[in-house]
Amino acid sequence: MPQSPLRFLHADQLNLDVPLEGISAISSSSLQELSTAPLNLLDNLLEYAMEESVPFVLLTGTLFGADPPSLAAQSALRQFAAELYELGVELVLAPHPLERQLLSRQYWDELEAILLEPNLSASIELESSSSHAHAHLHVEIQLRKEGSNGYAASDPSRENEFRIVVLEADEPFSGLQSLLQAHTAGSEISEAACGHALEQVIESTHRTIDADYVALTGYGYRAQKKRDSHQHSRFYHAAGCLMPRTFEEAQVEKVGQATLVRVEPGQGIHLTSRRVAPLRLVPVSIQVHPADSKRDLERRLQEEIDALEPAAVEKLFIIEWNINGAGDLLFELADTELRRDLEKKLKGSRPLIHQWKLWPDRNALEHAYSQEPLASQFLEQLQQYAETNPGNLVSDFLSRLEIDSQWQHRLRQLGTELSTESILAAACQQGGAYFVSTEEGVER
Amino acid sequence: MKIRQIEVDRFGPWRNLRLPFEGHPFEMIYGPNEAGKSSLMRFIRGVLYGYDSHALEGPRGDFGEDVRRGALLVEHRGVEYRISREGEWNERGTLHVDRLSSSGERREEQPDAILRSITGGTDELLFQNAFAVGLDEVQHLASLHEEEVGQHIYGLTLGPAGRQILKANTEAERHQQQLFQPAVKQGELFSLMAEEDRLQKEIVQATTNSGVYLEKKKQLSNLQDEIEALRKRQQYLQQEQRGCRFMELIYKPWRQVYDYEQELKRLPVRRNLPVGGLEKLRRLESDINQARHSYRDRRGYYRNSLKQSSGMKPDSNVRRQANLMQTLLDQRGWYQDERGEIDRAEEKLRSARHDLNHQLNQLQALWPGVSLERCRQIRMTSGSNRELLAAARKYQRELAKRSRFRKRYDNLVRRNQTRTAELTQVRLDLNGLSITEALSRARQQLSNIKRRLELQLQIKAFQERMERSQAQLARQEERIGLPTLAYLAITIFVLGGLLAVGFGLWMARQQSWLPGAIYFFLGLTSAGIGWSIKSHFRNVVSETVRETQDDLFETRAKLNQLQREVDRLYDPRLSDLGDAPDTESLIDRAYQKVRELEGHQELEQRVQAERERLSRWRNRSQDLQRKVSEIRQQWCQLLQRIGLPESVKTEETFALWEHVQSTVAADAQLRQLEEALGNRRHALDHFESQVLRVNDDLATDGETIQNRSSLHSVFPQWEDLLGQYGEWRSVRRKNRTATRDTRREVRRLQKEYESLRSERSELLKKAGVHSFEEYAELEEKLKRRQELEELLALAQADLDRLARTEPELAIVEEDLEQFDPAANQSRLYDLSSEEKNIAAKLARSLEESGALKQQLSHWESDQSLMRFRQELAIVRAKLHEATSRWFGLQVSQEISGHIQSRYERTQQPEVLATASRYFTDLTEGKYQNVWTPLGKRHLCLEDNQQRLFRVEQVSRGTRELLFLSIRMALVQQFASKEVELPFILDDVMVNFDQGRTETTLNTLLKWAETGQQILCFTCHLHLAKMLEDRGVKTFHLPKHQATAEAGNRWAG
Repeated sequence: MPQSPLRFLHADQLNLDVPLEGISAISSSSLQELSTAPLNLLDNLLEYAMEESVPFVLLTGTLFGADPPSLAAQSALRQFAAELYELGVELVLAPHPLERQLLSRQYWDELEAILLEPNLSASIELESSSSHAHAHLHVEIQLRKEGSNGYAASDPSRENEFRIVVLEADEPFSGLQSLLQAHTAGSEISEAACGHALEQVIESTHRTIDADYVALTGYGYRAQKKRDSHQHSRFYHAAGCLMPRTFEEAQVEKVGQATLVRVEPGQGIHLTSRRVAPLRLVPVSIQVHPADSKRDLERRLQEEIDALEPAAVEKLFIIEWNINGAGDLLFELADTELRRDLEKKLKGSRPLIHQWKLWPDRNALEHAYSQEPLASQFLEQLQQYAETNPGNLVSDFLSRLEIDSQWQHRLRQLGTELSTESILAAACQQGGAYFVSTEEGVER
Repeated sequence: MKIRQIEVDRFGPWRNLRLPFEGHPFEMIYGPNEAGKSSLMRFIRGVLYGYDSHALEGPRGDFGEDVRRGALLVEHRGVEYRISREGEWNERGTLHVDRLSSSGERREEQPDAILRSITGGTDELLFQNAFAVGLDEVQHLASLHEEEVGQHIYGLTLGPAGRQILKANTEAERHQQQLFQPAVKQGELFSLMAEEDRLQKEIVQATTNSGVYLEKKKQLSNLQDEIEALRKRQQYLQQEQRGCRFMELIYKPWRQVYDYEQELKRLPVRRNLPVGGLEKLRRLESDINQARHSYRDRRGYYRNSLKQSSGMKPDSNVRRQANLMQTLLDQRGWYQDERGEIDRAEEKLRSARHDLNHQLNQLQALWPGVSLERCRQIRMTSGSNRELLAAARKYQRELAKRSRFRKRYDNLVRRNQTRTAELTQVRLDLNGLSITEALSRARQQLSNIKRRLELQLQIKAFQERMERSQAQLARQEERIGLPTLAYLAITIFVLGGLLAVGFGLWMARQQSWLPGAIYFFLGLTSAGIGWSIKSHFRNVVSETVRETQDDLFETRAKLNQLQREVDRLYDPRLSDLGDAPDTESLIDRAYQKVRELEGHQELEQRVQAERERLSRWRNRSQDLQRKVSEIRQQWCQLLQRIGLPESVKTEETFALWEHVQSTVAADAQLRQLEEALGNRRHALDHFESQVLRVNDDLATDGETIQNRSSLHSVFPQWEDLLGQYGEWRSVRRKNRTATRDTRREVRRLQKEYESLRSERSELLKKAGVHSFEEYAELEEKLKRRQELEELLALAQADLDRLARTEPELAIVEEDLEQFDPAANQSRLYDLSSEEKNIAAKLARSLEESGALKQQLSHWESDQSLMRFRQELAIVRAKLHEATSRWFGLQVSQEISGHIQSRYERTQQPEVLATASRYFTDLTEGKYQNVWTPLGKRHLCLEDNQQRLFRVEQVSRGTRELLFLSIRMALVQQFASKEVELPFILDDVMVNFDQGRTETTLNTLLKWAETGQQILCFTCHLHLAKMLEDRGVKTFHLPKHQATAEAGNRWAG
């Protein structure tokens, strides 16, 4: 651990070329904003680096996330690196191994950045601003692949040296490999089991890696939940995916944030995360009860929006409303016009894009409409499908239809990407409106 | 309605026909073909709904009749009517309805309304399709599709469930059409897939651009390398040209500078010669010659005078020792005093030695065997003294502390032993119980006693309450009867009311009904009110009594419960507390015992605490002992370090320390005195040795001294010798003064001469020459050099000015030396032409590079690939949604189909359900169910093997049976709605086999037994016989009277 203070920025999974997924309702102006969001993200990151006057910025994990990366993204990264260089800030890149090969050596050479190679050390010499005698600080950064050889512990850190190891997950990382093998196909692996496997990976690396700061990359959002551990005077940190790409990813706390790492002599390492993503994906679950009115729902949605605390850099919120529960309101929401009216009434401190997902709660519906014979029959039969594998369900329906093989193939492909639950939710939504609702079918 | 008789005056082929039915609900009417059976059916229908007014082919009807007339005698709800109709051959006819009764016939005013009531509001079409069916109707499905019939069969007025199912299906179908129509390749899914294809193509295109970009980038890189090379070459050429031009320009001035410099190199270096140096040099030469002559004359005179004064000389020994002798003579008095002082010092030394021996003896008494050497090794510094004092104090303090602590510890041990003994006695008294257990038991006893006291108080309270309740009950029982006066008043009120009722009845009968009614109701009201008041009071009091009784019962139960609890709380051990007059004293004793035990417990805790403290103190005592040992060891180490013998007694050590100090001090004094005496002796010896040495030195002239005590004798001789030496010195001083003046003169002349010579040498040295001639030649050369330098400066300035025009070019002497103007001109020409070529190439490359850069910059700023990818993600999200919906629709539709199927089989219209039963009977169980798909107008059959058939798929006979069953069910359905019309069949069983015919007849007979009138027309005698066999009367139609005037006979 150095005796001089040190600050640097760490951000993971830039994902410049990965589009936002799971959004279906969007205007053309918002489309432009979404597609250029990664470029704005780089501007925000640059401002953060300027504001904090850090000596270097560490970017780990996927930089582009597409094959091939777009020229605009490549150019933006080049520009970003050049501007940092102008400011005297070093840019250290530990990109995904595929990206290292995907882009030409010339591109990496032209970039004003330090490109980390596996098991090779890069170093940065810093002039310390401290009044202490140690005016020079030597930062050594190394990229290591999980499970690779060459973990032999090197010399212990000297006083004026700070050692960073970027630990890159295997694909899939070997800790989970055994877990995956132990599970049969299709069975769900619990988050706790994943977390335990990750613990084991980290424990095994503890014994072999000697570093002051271990930047985890490629461990996915699962690693994020419990992985800010400060053990054995080593700091393991997985910064959240910098650019959120799915609503599932967005549930992770540090997604869209860059981490400022501060090393204070005698006080250890402190992490401060700040939002730099220009937009935020907000998955929200709303439970609808049979007695709820539209006004109730509107009030609750507005409360959720009001609870959002926007960061200065955030220009847009994309909210996924997961409406679940039972009641006519849930079926009425299938009406696009009703949803549009509702969206117009909802006000936020930032422009909002609404994404609606309706999940009728079959158990609640069965309970609520147990006296309705048709509803009971419908829900009972629907429940039988819940135990069917989605692939079999799709194949079964497609085999009964007389359609062209080309369309069959495409529908089958699309069908395999769906979950049984989403199909059943749609079925419940479709049939439920007529069988379950107390009205004679909700007009759609 | 049941037809009792058919009366045909004139209709079709029939004239004056009377067909009376005798009350059996099943009537078989037999007549051969063309007997007029169908005409009779038409007649019945015509009377009820109006004769046919169309489709008559003849000019006057089918049978040429002018008028159609006839009547039906019917019974409807116990009333008989004659329904007659009369009209022209082409008219519907006029209706008359006569009500028949025992008193005669009465024509109804509103025949249509009566008839509507009789026919249940049915119309002719319904009657024809449902109630009066012939073979045609039975064979064809179409007649079942008529609106009203259809409603009953196909359930067109579906219930909410049916509507829900139908609507769900319809909507699902509509949504599916919107999503996906494979046949016409339309729908949302198709659009989205097409959009996905388009975007993927766009992305592929943009990706291809990316490949081209790399090529172009490489091309640009090559081009830039080429441009760089061309620029370098161009720069080189320009540089070369400039060099050549510069050489040409600079060559002439350089040459001139070069020549000047060469000449300057040959001239001596510049130096500063004094102004008028040559003249000065000439004057110095003559002055030197004069000075040399004067100096040599004076020096000869001085040397002669010196030779004269060196004739007389004194004794050399006296002259050499004169100063020492004089000094020793001066110290003569000191010498004599010093001898006396030495004697006194020796006396003091002896005394000090004696003192030391005394001290040492005293010390050896305390420290046997100690020597003076050993004492000298002891560190006698003030620091040691302080250290010793501090260590001694610390050691004594620790010892005192340990001693104090031991006293306290012993006290505590004694106290603890006393308390332990006391506690042991207490435990013995408790008979093996621990104090805590005893205390807990005592507290429990106390609590029990308290609870008992509390319960006894509660029992007392409840007893009082019970007594109160009993008293209250007694009071209420007394109150249960109202006061007699009140009873009297109520009785009067009731009696008065009854009288008023009677009076009212009497008045109504005798006088007028209105006042009678008023009195009647008034009386009724009075009686009612009186009765109500009495009932109310009785109820209220009964309720209160019941409540009090309940309360009493509850209190008694509670009392028993409390008593049981008191019994339960009895503790035999309470006798330990002794006999007590009352519970309060018992409580006091229990309290006292608890307090006593608490005291014992406290004592036990204190003993325990003391034991713990003793254990701690033991540890502390050991610590203190350890510390004392440690400090004692430190003390001993200090003594050892200082050099004293080890001892734990500090007083002895300090006494020893004082003696040692005294001994060492005495020793030091002795040595000081010895040193002082030595010094004095040494000085005296030195004086004596010097006197002897001087005397020995002078011995050549006198006697030597053998004894030091006779030194005084030499001093008078020495005084004489020194007097002679003094005289000689005064003569010599006078001669020396004269010689010194001469010598000074010689030296002045010498200096003057030397000064002139050095001035000349300086001048020549400055010029760097050795002679006057050389000096003159040098002065000439330096003049020339100055001229040349001025010329060179001018030429150099010109050269520098030219050189400044090309600051980047360096002037290389060698190049200028080898410079050839003609060759330079030729090279300049070659370079210029090559540069022109390079410039042209460079311009082309730059232009090309600019275009490439612009193109690359355009691609780099093109965000379309990012946008396409985002659009594709959106389209895919939409596709997933649409696919989910589509598969959801499939699931929903399948479930909906299942529900519909079950619904169709189980929730059919009542008509079809009844028809199913008949159909099963008629087909002897071969077919089980008849149903119609929801929202459809066709029938389905299900056989006993659950096979499904559409009605078109079964045989004609089965189909006729089905339609017959449906008609029967329809009639039954209408009957249930109080539309009772006869069921008229016209030869519908002609296509049935024997078995089915019999089954059908049996079914119809069974049905007729329920009260349904069935009129069955047939032309088959075996049918009539079959029925006759079953006890049914058959009408055999007479031959009709009408002549076929019209020529056409369509009946039968």
